[in-house]
Amino acid sequence: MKTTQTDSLTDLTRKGTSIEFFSAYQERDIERMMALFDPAGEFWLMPLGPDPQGTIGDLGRNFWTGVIGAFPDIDNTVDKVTADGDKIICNVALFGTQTADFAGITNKGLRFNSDHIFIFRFNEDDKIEAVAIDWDHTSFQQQLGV
Amino acid sequence: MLYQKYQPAPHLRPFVECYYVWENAALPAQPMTVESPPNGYGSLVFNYGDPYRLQTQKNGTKVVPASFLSGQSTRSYQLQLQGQIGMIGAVFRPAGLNSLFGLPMYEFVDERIDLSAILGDGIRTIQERIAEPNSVIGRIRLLETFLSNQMTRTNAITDRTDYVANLIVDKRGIINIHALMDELYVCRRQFERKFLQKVGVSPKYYARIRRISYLCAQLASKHWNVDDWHDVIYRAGYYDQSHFIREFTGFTGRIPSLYVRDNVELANFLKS
Repeated sequence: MKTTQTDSLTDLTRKGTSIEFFSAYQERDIERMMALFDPAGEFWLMPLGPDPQGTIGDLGRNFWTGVIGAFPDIDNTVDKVTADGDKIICNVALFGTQTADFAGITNKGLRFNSDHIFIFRFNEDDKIEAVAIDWDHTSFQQQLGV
Repeated sequence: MLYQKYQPAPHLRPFVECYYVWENAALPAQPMTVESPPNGYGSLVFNYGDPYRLQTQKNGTKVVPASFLSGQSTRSYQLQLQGQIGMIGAVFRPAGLNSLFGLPMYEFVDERIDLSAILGDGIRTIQERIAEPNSVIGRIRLLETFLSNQMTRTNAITDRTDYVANLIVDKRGIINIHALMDELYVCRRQFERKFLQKVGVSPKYYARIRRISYLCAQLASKHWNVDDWHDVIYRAGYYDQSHFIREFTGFTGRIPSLYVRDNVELANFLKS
């Protein structure tokens, strides 16, 4: 059985990993982002369905590659990072300017700024084994002219 | 009941907001619950009284380590005290813990981490000395000596992030962060990254914490008697009532009227 102290220190490590993800995302470095995940882990875009839609190594990689391609100035501000059991919850503002069609949204050259919640679930080896992302999709679409 | 704040020595004031000592002379008949909203400060706390518990929405109820470091709180928390109360704490200016100890403060948000896990077993000596019978001033001197030694060891200095974080405090969170960044000619990304490292949350989020903190302190100073909510909301810098209720409920877990009705807040014990 782990002690409370070990739990706390594990949380600190996992928070650091989560920050590293957003740093890599800022640098639009897909390989650095993917290195933090178990590629077989679940990838879930919460506004788009009630269950995970695919794996991190497959759908996750494609999704983030698509985001970076369509929003080449994509950037983020991490508002806060908190722990909840084996999950790290990150409140993050994402923003960027659309330069190509993306996920059915026609490019109108508009900019979005949207609060997101990233929930990372970690395995015993402190790799991220599931990621769920939530945001106000209606607002996101409206900002991009849908 | 004694809850007394003390000013730090001048050389530590860039980092330390105040010290506090909290003791009770007589054992209370009933356990006591004290609630505190997020206040925008981190702290080092040494308990020389009976163990006590912390209740949070996230973790439920847990015994608090005898000495711990706490980072920014983003939700209200409750202390459940019984028996002998005896604790001394150093409350840090928003970036002070990072400037003195070099710790990445985003890791400590909503956490109370055993000091020995962070600073090593050497801290146990301080813990033991603080626990020995002593006067209030004697304990404060021990704590101040420890922090002074830390300051010397790390050559701690403040920087632009400390300045901005302190400015957010001074302005009670009512500040335009983007305009401030323009004014200071700072790169947004670097500035936000540094702020997250030194304070624990983003500048914008910190301003929100300070706004709610100031508002709760104002309410507490009036013993939770609110004559005019519109005036309270306006002075705290909220756009309108729904914005205020959303923010207040988000940080405290309750709607304002319920919070005011139920609350027994730490500030009630403050002596000015």
